[in-house]
Amino acid sequence: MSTQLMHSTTEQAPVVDDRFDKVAELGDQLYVWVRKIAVPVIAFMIFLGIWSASAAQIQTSLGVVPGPAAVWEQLVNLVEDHKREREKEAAFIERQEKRNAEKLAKDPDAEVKIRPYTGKPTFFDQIWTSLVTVATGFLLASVIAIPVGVVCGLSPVLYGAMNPLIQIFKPVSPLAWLPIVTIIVSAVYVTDDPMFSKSFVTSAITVTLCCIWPTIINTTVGVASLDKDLINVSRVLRLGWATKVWKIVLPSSIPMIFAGLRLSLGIGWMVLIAAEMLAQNPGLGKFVWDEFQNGSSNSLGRIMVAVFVIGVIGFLLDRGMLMLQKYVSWDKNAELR
Amino acid sequence: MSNEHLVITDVTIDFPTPNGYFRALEGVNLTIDRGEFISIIGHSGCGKSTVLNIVAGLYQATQGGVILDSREVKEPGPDRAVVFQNHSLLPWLSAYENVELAVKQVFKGQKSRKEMDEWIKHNLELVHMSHAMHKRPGEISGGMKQRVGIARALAMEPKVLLMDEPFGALDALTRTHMQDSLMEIHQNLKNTVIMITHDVDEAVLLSDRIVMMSNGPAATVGDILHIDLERPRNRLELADDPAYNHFRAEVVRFLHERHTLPVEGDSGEGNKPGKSSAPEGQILDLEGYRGKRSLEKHKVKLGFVPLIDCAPLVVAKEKGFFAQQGLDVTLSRESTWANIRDKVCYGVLDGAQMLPGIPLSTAVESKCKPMIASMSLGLNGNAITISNALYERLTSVAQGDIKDPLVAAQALKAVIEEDQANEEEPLTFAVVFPESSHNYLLRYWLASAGIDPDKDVTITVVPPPQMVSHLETGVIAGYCVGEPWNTQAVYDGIGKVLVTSFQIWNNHPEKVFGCTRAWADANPKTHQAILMALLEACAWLDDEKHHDEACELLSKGRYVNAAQDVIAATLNKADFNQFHRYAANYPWRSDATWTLTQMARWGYFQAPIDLRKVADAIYRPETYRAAAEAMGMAVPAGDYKTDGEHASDWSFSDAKVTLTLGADRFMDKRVFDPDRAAFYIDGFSVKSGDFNLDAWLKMNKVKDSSAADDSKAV
Repeated sequence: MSTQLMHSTTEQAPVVDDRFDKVAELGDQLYVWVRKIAVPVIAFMIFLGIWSASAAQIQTSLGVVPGPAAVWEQLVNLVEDHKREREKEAAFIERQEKRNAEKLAKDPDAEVKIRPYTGKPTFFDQIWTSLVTVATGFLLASVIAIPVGVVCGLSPVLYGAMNPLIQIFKPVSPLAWLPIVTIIVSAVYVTDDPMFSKSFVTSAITVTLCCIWPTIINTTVGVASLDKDLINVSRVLRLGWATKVWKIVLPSSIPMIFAGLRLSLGIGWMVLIAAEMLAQNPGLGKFVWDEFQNGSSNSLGRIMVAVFVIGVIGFLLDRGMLMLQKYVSWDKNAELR
Repeated sequence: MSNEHLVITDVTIDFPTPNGYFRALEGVNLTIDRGEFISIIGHSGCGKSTVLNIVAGLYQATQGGVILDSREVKEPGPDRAVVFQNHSLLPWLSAYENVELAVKQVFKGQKSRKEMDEWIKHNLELVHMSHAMHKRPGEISGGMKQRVGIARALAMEPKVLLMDEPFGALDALTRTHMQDSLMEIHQNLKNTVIMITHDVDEAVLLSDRIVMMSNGPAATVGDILHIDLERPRNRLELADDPAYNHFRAEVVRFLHERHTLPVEGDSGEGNKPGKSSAPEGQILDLEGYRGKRSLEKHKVKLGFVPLIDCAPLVVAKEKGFFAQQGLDVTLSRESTWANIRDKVCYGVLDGAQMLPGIPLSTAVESKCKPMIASMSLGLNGNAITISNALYERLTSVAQGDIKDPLVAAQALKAVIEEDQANEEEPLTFAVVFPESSHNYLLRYWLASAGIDPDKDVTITVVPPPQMVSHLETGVIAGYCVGEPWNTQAVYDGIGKVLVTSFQIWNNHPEKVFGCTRAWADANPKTHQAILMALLEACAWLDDEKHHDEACELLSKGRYVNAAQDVIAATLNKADFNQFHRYAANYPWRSDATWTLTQMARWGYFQAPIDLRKVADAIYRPETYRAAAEAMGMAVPAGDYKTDGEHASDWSFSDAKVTLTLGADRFMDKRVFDPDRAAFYIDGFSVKSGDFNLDAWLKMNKVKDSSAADDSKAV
């Protein structure tokens, strides 16, 4: 009797379980949704609430500290400014073309001049300038740092030679580099028709100097911690140096190289804002500085917009690197954060 | 072409540590044949992997080295593919790409793209991985990864496959599958494999030989176990096989002993003290099952002197007779007999080809450990060679045929008297060792014509290989030595063979196999195995068909190092070396007694000795008998016979056998009865002045001839 009973229970069991499974599955999905979306949104709301409440309490020389609403308003203004500026530019170019066309109609041999629009760069122009500068500096740094890191990782002797330099220069602030770079660039980069402006070169090199170190160190560590057995595999196979680096060293060090690159890019972005502010090079840093000097009632709000934008761009840059790493890395299942 | 495929010689390695150098390995020696499957087993940290890494070239030995197919291993290379413990596949490459990396590197420019593709797939098929060849290591199980690792190694077509605990990280079931796969692959491809393992069953199941390492520091090869189970092997059938379980027990016992006696065994000497105290019953049961399987010592070093009569040792080694007995024998070429005596005495050699006088002299020589002789390695083989100048003088004064030894001796006597009249320096003759049969035969011959060897000539000692050059430079006027050094002098036109030892005493006993008594007591089974292999070699040598091959083996540089035709000339000469017929290998105690009588005759002994007691203690026919009977060979029942009564082949029979023995005449027709040895010595007119018959008779009671025991010759 008991066996029969047990038999029937076991037969029915899956049906019951299935229903539970479905509920559990729904519960799991809900939990994931809550954890991934609702929690961050609620946290952000709380942050805005605290900001809004506390900002109203603080009186400054430029009026009340702007709350979220005021900052939003300034963002809209900045967008409007940009649009207006683009319209002006378009009008300017149109006028110039029309004038030139007329000139040419009168005299086909006439010398026409095309002048660039020299209006004030908008907030979004400044963002673009900053992005280009940081990208240049960062790429330059990576092109130097990865090979140096690989070589240092493979050769203890070279590592010994490089390590003191790396350790000394790594903690140096961009503020210390900037004057040196500015003076050297002014002295060395002398051309009549510069492809890049001096301020751009100075900022980019400062970014390079500051963000080269994390990549070197991480690459070195990544390469040096290469599995000894894999090195033995390459020794037994008598792989050439290039094949060894390409087939074994680089793939295995990718996580560490990218960890270094992400650190470097983050540092580069921070350094860039400071450099632009100090050196009056065009970019987001200069925008912040200009607004600070400007001292209008809108300035504080605009600076806050810039702060948010800097943060968001920094975040997006990091996400971009992560996506790149996912694309390049062999291990698609590794959890990256 | 040699079988020696991979030779690890005296490998020692030191690793630098903060407290100075750490000696991980010391004096590791191992010779591996092509296609052999070797397991290295030992406790953790005993340097197993270090040995493997040195063979792979990943480490460099501090001393010694590794030779693969006659080339020294200096760096890693694909001819020594390694299968690492944790597979070591590149995780970013698929199984196919991992093998491809190796194949592209090794066969670059040799195989087309298509051939490479086929070769990669073939190797993956070999390890049953075709179905998952495009998966990455992260997507397959541990066993599959290890299969790919093996495929990658096999795809390099290595001369040697090195496996460092290849299955250590796998679960039991997977491991079983992998072992079966590996056996199958080894069966098909016949690779040479060295595998490190901790698993006793794995070692016994897979290996031809198990190398057991002693504990570090300064670890070395402790013992080698030959696993001569038939292949293919089936693990289920073997589970109940007594031989398999015996091997298993041997390995476990070794590991256990090393564990409890960690201090032992760094000397590399195989005599493990724990061995004899181990439960013997189990081993004895197996004796009847497979006699040779429980040798005390597998790795044996035997000495020889480059002479024709080292042939039994060379043949036993080269023809694999030692290996068949489960022995791993290294032959050590020694230039002098003194070397042989000292090295055997101090345990550098386990045993050696010896002059009968070497073990016999240990009866009274206190500086040497007692030795024994357990087998005769042959009859005849010596000759007396003199310079061309002396030969001309002899022929001018000879009264009769100079080929007759007595005529020749009398001619020499005349020459010596002429020299003495002219007050010239006495002639110098050389022998190979003071207590050598050469010395006693030469003296016997000289004395037959009334020449006193201690007064009328000078007798000096020269090592056999240097005789010819000494004769050439005129340092000596003649010598008595074993072949090929007589024929060599004739070939070189330096001298003439005046008398052969056969003429002095027909079919006289020559070299013996000897070792210390302590060694024989500690290694009875190894001893017997050596004798059996030597007996087989002697029987092989007795067949004239084999002479050409024997010549080729002996003429090699590391053996006799003489021209092949010189060796052939002596081997094929009748009345010269007899290796087996005429009971040539039987260590007659009467032969020992004869040598003792000659030692006594020339005053070697300070005081009279009991000849019979010494002969019984040193010559061991009973050890020989056990070996010969195990080989199914006929052995006389008694230990003594009378010599000098037969001018041609005769029939010997006793309680056990009837054998054909050769002529045993002495040149002076004297008869040697071992029971009347003291009278025999006294009967010689030329002898040492110190000989005192009465004193010797007190020590050696002459037996009544009517009461002669059953060992007397018929």
